[in-house]
Amino acid sequence: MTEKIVSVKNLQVSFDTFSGKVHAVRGVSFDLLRGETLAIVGESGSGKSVTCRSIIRLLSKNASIDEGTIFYEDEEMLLKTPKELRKIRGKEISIIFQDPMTSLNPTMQIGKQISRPMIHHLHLSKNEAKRRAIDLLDLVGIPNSEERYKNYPHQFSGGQRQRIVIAIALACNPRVLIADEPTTALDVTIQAQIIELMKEIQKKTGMSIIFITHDLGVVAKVADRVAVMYGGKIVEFGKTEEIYYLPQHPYTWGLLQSIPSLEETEEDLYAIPGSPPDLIHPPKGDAFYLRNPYALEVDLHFEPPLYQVSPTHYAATWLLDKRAPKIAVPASIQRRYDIYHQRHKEGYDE
Amino acid sequence: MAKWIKFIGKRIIYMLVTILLISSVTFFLMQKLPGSPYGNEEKITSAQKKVMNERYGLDKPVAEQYLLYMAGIARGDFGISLQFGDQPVGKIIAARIGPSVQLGIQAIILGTVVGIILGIISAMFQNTWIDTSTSLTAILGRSVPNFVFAVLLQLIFAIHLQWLPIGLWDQGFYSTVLPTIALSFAPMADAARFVRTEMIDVLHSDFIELARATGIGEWEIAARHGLRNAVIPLITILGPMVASLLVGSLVIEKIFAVPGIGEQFIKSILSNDYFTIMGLTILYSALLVAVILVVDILYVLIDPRIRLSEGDEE
Repeated sequence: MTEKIVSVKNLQVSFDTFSGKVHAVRGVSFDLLRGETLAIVGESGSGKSVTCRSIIRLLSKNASIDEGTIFYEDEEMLLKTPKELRKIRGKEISIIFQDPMTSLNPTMQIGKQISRPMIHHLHLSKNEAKRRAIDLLDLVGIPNSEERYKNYPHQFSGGQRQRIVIAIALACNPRVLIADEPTTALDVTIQAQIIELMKEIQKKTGMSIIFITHDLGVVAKVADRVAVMYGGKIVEFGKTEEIYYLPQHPYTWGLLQSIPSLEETEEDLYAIPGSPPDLIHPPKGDAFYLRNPYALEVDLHFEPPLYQVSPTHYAATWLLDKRAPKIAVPASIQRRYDIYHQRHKEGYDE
Repeated sequence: MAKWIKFIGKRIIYMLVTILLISSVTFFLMQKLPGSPYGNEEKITSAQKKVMNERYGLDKPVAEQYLLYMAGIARGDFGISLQFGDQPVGKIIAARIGPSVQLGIQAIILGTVVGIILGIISAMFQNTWIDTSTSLTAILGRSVPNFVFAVLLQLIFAIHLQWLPIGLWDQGFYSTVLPTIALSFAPMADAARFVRTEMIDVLHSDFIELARATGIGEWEIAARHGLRNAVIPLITILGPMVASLLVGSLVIEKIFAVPGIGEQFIKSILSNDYFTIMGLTILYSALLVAVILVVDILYVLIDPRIRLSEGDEE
């Protein structure tokens, strides 16, 4: 049976800026289970990166974690000293960033960048670290690893650089890998390769992955479970299948409708109208209210609680309340429901 | 290796062309310089003047003078000083350049090393009192003229504490300490402010964030990842600074009674000593282009992203 490796409870993070206090994360709770891939999906500014960086406390100086608890195994990360944090960063929990073009030090040989964390955390000698770094380069699929160990970042393509960043992240065999939009800056074919690589490595090492993205299309390929974030909160979470085929929150509907599809060419690609909420003065009610075509009067005044859809599936929308009016789900979402019910009637099992 | 020879060879040719142009321009500018090299012009007769002009070749047509002068330079002969008892200009410069160059090199090393350290500390403690006080030091170093520092240094270390000689060039290294410090404030201030800005930039880049995410400590990040990236651009501003320090500072040399070249330059201009002015101008430009070449070579050595272009390979 799986169990929790990371557990975040009621996390609240804010940033002090010139224009005021930005409440970037407003009460986020989730668990990461051993060996699973959890995708956190949301648009820019939804708080997904901040949530994940909070886990290893890698936030900018003007950020403050106002409330909540973050447990890694049995350890409360928010109580750790900088020195204790450094022992966890890179060794137990690693992170990969979005842009491989800027994630590597341009004036340092890539081999040194990979072996450094091993020397630091595992106390390997230079030669041992070098040997392992070359193995890692092989693992992430960099050809001629022995010669390329000495190369500098500019001598690699974008996809190769992201592979190198992954090698750095994997150097000390972390238990948790946070991938912060690792494929956003790459083109689609390279994107598929990188995702394939991450899945392969996960199979070998059994590590847990938090996969941050704004692209629900990518999520289907990697995630076991999905959390959808909006305006600094998780608005819906469930198993990947539940999010894809039984979505409940209008924001999730919007995200799903905006995935380009090969079949539906007759209409323009859907885009969610409006812009993200102002998190300096967060709305009193549902943050999605202004952009939600299915908004109810109650959304303006009260925040919806999380309603349970199934033991694994929750969504925060008043539409799930008993008193809510029945509304017609968008056609494309209805088709997804139909597929879901079809599968489960036939006793379809993942 | 062949690449390097070709690269440096090419650059040396450009340097020679540059120097040739500069010396030509200087030569013709000298023709336009008002006045003459003869101190009490109104007291000497035209006959005396004619004799003098003949003696120094100043009576010949300008074109001929120019060709003679350039031919002299090619032979390494920079002419005769009109002021210092007919001594060759080359000899005068050689006798005076030593102290200036020594002071310049010492000041550059001291200034940049201290400046880089201050800049890094400033950046690491950005927006704290440490940052404010180092920045303040840098601004003072830049805006207060170096003769003020020179006099203060003399007052404190030579007169009150009596640790070091107040001036002159007779106690070896000890004589050089105070003028070196006085000269080093400007490069120190420039380096500190420059490195601070660069370092703050670098410390906010993604690869530093990634290094932090691998659990490496702040000081190691600054030293291993920050320093090199922050110092590379410093090399650019260092080049011209070196050249101007090497040719000496009139004021500092005067205050500390250093027998350097800086004073010579001013004297030669005041007395229309054509050949000395030209000799020093050529020396200064030669130093400058040489330093620029050194800077370019350093760039290739320090920054792995800069490679000698493929075109230089064949």
